[in-house]
Amino acid sequence: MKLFNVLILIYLCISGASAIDFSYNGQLTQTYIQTTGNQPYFDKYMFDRTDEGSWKFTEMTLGGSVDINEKFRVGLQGISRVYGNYGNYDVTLDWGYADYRFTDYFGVRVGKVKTALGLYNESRDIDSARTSIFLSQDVYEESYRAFINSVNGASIYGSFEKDTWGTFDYQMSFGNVDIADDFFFNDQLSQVGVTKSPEFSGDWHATLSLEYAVPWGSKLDGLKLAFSHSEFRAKADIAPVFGPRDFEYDLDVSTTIYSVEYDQYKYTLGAEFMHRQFGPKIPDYVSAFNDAFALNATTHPTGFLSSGWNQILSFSTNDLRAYYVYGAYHFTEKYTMQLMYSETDHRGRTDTDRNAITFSQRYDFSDYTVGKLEYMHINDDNGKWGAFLARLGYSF
Amino acid sequence: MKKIFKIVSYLLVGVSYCVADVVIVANKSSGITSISRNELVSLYSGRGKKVAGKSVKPIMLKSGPSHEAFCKKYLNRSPSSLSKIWKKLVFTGKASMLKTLNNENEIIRSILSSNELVGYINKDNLTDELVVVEVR
Repeated sequence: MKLFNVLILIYLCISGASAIDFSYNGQLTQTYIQTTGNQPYFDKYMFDRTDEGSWKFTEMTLGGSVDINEKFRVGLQGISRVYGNYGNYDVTLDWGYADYRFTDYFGVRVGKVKTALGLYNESRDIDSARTSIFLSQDVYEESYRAFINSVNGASIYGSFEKDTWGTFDYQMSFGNVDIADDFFFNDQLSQVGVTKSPEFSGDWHATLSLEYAVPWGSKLDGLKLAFSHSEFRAKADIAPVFGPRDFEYDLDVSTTIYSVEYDQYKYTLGAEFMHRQFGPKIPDYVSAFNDAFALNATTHPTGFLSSGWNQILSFSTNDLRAYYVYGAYHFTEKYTMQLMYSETDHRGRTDTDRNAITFSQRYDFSDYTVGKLEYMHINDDNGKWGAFLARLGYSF
Repeated sequence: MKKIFKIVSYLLVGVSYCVADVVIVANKSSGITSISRNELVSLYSGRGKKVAGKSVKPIMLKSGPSHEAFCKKYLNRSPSSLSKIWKKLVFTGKASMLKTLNNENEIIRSILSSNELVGYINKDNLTDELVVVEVR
């Protein structure tokens, strides 16, 4: 919060100076959601079953930035969300940083910086920048947002380009994450029998993102390839409801995303593949306890001690592969249609495997107002079910 | 069948005549006379800020035939794609929204008042005070 206060102070001081170039931006989206059947896909993370429909899906952002000079800029953005059962219009800092761009090849951002992971992680909250309401929840899972959205630290970035070989962008970030206050994360912990937020120590999150775009005018103009990798490490104290006692474990999350996008005047095609390994190293005495009672995620019936205990133990085999492919066609300047297929394969487990087909439509009423309709057909461990969403968004 | 083919051909020719012929322009005293295609794409994608070592600020039209023609001819992107690129930049704090103007007269007036600006207009609206920037 100290960082937030300092940035606000800088922001207010600077925006008061009339000679400096100040700009502001904001957005408000209101979504209606209705689902059929069982939906752990949402239920686990966001929404209860909503046969009757629900309006509890609102997002707001407000931000601004100041170009102090040609190379130096500062800015911040606050975000407030209600996601089904989560959020209460609490305002949190989405990002806020000082940016010094030495050259086009090299710049530095310091503060709370967004993490470049995959093609859309940085812009995941910007509704007006995409056709669908949801990004693929197999690759950009909302419950994992707090881990990858941003870091309190720094990033370096740059862009190289030549007419002959195209454009190469890089971005690297390093810092720690605001995980303790995240409502999804805490809810997930409570679901796995943890009574308090874990206290992280020595946590850090590093991300590397590389992006290549082929040169303008070449046969494959519009093609973009990207690779990104993130490493999250922490020591965490965890206190299950049941179990031997509080214990500290090493949390190690590794995410790699390969991306491709082909953007043309009338259509856009894209695909991303993600491999995530989520590996808490459980201390020996906890493993011994587990062995003594012959508990593990696959053999022990859920609920004997706590369903969460099994899940904690099962984390050690968490190897997730997910991908999605999509195509969008711009019928007119105002109307776009998109079809997406998305799938998750959880190695060693079948209860979390799923696939989804999403059909989205976007209509731009004006430069500021966008309407969207979306239907998702999901096939998971609980059978087949659907979700219908309608959204109206305003941005400036 | 031949008739249908002829009608479609005429329509296509007609449409091509309607597409605005857009040129890139700058202030005569800016010293900017040429720009590579990648530099232009880079400027309008918010990545680059310089051309031949000089600071340059792009400006664009809000909408209209010249804007659509510019997006297609020089960027090979739809106006909505360009808009999405800038939304991403602005909402992640990477750039301030580039100056967007309502008509070509405003583009011309802005460029005449600054050596740093680069924009585009319909060829028919060229004036002697502007220089056409060659796109290499």
